[in-house]
Amino acid sequence: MQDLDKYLNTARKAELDNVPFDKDGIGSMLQKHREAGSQNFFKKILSKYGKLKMYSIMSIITASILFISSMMLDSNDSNPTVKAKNIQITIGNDTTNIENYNSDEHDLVDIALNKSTPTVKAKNIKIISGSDTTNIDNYNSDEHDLVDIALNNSTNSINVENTQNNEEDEYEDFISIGSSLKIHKDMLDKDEQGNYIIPMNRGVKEFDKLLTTDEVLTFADKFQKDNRGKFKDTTFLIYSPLNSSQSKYLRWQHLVFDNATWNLNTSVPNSVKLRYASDANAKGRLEYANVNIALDNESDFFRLMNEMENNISKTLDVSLLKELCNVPLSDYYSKLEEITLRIDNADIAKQALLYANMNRMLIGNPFAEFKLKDKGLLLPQESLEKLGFKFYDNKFTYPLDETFTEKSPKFFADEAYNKNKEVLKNGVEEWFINSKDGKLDPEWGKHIRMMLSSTTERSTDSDFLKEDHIQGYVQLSYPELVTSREVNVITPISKRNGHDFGLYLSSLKNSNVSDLKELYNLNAKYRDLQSIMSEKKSDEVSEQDRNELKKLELTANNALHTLKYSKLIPIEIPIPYGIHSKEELAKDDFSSVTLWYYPDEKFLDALPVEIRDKVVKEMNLLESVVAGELPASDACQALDGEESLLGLCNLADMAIQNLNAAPNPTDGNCEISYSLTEERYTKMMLLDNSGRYVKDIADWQNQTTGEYNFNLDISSLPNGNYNIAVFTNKNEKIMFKLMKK
Amino acid sequence: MVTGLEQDRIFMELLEPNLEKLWRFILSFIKDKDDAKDIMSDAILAAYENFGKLESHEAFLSWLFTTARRLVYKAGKKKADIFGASHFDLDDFKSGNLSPQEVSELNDLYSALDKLPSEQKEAVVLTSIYGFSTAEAADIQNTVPNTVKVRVYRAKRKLKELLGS
Repeated sequence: MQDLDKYLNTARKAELDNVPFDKDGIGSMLQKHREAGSQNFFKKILSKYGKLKMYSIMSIITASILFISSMMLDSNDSNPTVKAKNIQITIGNDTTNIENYNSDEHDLVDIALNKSTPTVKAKNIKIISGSDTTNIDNYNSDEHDLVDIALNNSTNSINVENTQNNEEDEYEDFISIGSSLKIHKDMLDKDEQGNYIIPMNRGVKEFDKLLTTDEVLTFADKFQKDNRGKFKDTTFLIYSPLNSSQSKYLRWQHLVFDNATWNLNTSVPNSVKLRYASDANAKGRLEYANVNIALDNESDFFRLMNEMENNISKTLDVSLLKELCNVPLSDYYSKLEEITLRIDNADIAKQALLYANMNRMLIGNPFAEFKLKDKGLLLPQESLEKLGFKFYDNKFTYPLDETFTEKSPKFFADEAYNKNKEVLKNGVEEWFINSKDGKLDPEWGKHIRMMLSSTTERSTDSDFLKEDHIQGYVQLSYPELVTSREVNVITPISKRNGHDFGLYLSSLKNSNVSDLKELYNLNAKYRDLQSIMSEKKSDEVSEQDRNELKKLELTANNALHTLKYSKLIPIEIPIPYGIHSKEELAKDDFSSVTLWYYPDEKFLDALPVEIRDKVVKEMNLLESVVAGELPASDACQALDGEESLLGLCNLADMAIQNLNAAPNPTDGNCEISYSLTEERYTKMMLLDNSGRYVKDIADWQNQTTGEYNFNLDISSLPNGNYNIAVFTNKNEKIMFKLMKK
Repeated sequence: MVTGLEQDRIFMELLEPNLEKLWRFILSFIKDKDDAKDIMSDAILAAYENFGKLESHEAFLSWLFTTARRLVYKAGKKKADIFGASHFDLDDFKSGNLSPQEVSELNDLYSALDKLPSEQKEAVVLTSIYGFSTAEAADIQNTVPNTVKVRVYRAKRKLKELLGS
């Protein structure tokens, strides 16, 4: 991002000369505008209706009761001037009297508007023009045009009263929300004071069951009939876990389905939601009348999406939808039970956390979401059973824990863990064993293995622990790992600026949580230093700071790269708005979660064709690299410039190639070799498995084209996985995994 | 009640320091300087007319940009080819402010920006160049902060690619 920041800095600094307007220019422009303003209105009317000379235009301008006892109008084409006497303007309770009115000096619109909101509402308006009198009971400037009414009245071409009544009927049951949205009051709830409030997810209560396609269609029909006139521009929205508009991988939008629009959007996993919405604008998205269609596996869901993608602007294949909707999922809903579980052992907690994440996604249970604003996990029954819970007396109880009664809302970890660790451990370990090598217990894993991943913004230690900061997250405590106090490790269900937190979790499966903390701190440190330095001029920055920053950057940013060879494919899923309030959204960096999929056969089947081809191609290339058929240096090129989804391009980067270490695994001493195709300054260092800086292997040095060998002695370091990273001054970097045993 | 003259004075006070920003904002989206000039004068007049409706003067700049943006898009609807790269020349900048190399950087940046979808471009221009907060940019773009963040994130990722090569 360094380079980009430089460019943006330049852009910030740039100031244009020759701005076409200056203060004086604008002053005179505004002056002209003011002069023209009072006349424009008349000109408009005059041009529209020809040369109308002697009728009381005055009545038209004012927005409320306008009683003109006598008036006189002088007008000519170029400079129509209106003069009148004893004008009374009444808006609400305010009354303004003007004895002598002259349109050159006064602007009635200004006078009227200064006393009211731009939208003028009034009752009992009487417009008198000459001998004609028009009465309007309820006037709304948004809906009525007094000009039209008055003009038409004087020409008798429109029956003003009728128009008025129709409008009135249509709107009397509507409540205005904001400036543009009107909602039928049946759709709103009332609070204690009797004010109308917008119900969130109103429809879910009514429709949260699985419907067959026929039921959906019947419902849709009936809904439309019942609510005709209550919605304007009715739209059908289908809510799906993978948002279309923002995801680059999967795009589809606005499918026409019967007479309504179906829209795909983000909501609960594996579900499609039909939604009626009125005027669904981005700011005031209203939620009501939802129908959930939950699909029990990803692959069916992908099929549905595929189908939709292929049918954009066409009618959706109803039989497919029917087939999908018939998946008997309703059991989920009755089985659900929530429980708050606090686990104070790091390993178990970590595993349970991963497990819960996985399980939530895998089972695709729309309601198995993490409980918001409460510490603990919300686990579905299946998960709990796997963890050794028993369903007893309509409650889930942990069988060995005597302290857990109906009254105790939480397990307290010390006792619970000590008593039950074996059971608990076996529960999650079983899952872990099954999930290794991409082989999941089919009963759990259904079709696709994935890992919940998310990123987190830089946060200082105290922020990190702040209660409000972690609301809405799964939160687990690890008191053992930090000496003085409790550390919360969170899995945000959102993606935040920074790095992929979930990835760390997955990579840290075999290490401990303090690594994670350290990575956070490292990243925070890096960003702090970076921001301090970006404020300084370049010659003020000391060499030491610069080196420190470089080191931090390499370590913090490249922590991720250690994982990039995995065969996981990221699918980005924006977080639905509903989870967090607008305020929360405003202050936090919520945007999306990334799910990492193993590209197994079924997953690939479910992908849209163009992406599938890309993935398959890259997988094949990766395999030939691993098999030694294709040099790593050519692998990226073989992609023909397409974006790498599996990190193929990390195998070799431009000038640096063929990074290798032998022997690997090593007992401590090994030889590292790489080659350069162009002259570069290079640096090589050793990172641990999670990407943290361990030590330098070779400092910056100028190297010409050719092959280079280095000896590495890591006999003093503990056994485990390490990464060798080579960087160049042209921002190229490659990594190589080294195992010590 | 604030009189008309007083209002004018406040308006000018608020507007004047921001003229350059407004001009540059419009120029980042409009190819032709004459078109841009028209839009700018329209934007100023529209802002002037509706100034009374502005609730807080602190929000003036973002409100001004909102107005300008609407007019830019309106112009775009009438005349599709109006959107385009604005290639700045050295002459365009205040003398001594930028080096030739920086101007070329700027041109690189703007041509890269032009390759982004307009919403992303706008989001990154508003937040990263003009320093609007995400919430303000969201107001200007008539969307929620969440969306702006996604746009900026994607825009930056893409920009990095474009500028890196």
